[in-house]
Amino acid sequence: MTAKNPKRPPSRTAPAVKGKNIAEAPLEVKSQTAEELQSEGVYPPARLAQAYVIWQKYGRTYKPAEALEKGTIFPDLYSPYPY
Amino acid sequence: MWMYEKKLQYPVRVSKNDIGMAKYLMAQYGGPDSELSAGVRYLTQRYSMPTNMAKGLLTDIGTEEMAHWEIIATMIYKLVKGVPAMQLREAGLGAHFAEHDHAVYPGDAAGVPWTAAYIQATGDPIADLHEDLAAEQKARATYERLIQLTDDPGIKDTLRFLREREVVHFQRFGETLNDVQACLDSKKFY
Amino acid sequence: MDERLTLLREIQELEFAMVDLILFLDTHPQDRAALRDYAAVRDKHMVVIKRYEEIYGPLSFCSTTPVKCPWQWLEGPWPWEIEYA
Repeated sequence: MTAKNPKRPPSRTAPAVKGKNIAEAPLEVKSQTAEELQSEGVYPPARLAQAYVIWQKYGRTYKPAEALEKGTIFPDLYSPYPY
Repeated sequence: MWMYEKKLQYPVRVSKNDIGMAKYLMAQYGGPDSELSAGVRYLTQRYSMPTNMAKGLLTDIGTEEMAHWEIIATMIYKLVKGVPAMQLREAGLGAHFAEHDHAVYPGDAAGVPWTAAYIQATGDPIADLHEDLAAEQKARATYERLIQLTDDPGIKDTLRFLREREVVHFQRFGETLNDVQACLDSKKFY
Repeated sequence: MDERLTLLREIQELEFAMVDLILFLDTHPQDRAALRDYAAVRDKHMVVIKRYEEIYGPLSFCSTTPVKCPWQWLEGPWPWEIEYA
């Protein structure tokens, strides 16, 4: 990680602006999230000295009644603690 | 600004008084890895985040943590409700009673008052998000220990709910970290 | 009290689904399936909130139910006092 930028980086607005400045980015600048760019391999998904958590993909959800009991609507994130 | 909704996020059931458990739950009410620490930490760090995603997520999780703080307070309130002074004294809450009666005071399990020293807002988004990931793991681990310390089914259910929320929050902070790192990386090319 | 608790539980369930969805949307702002599901839950939630508030009074100060005298917001039980079934 480089030294902290003394000028506070501006808020991200259109993600497409990012793609424009990377040499390997696709030529057509379409609006993409970092998540999509990462899974397309434009940004390396992981690098040395940097933590990375896998992006969750939207899938099945519990019905609200079961979700409240379990603590999440996502079966993918449900981690039971039976003690 | 903040709105208050006059309901708990989760229906907290307590079947009987358990003063010992009330004491342990103080760890999550006013301790270093408590819901209060989490709420204040995230709501503070959001001001120095570089992306809308980070500002939004810290605001939303911070707000949810305050709702969890309310849940912990409710458990403590119900666990000591109506318990007379001498019984509180015998169970080790005499000092607490002397200073706070049945009030739910933000201190840890040993009565040490909450302090902003429990949180950091470094202004460095990468550092702050790593602290948030760690905080969620610490809270999760604490809930696991608390679940083992009681056999009251209502309390166990509530603690399991709160524990699962920490797992979900960890995932969200991780995703936000990915995004902030990618965003800050791209700035190098300007 | 039973009917009140049943309605309250329904609100808690729907609102919780909304909360988990908004956190997901915060990190996946372009996920159309999640956006669609959020909109659907939010619509159901609005209906149940209105039903509850009409009988038991406001859940927030910006409730849109008719204003009654005396000021209903102060009415108990408060959330930490309720004996959930």
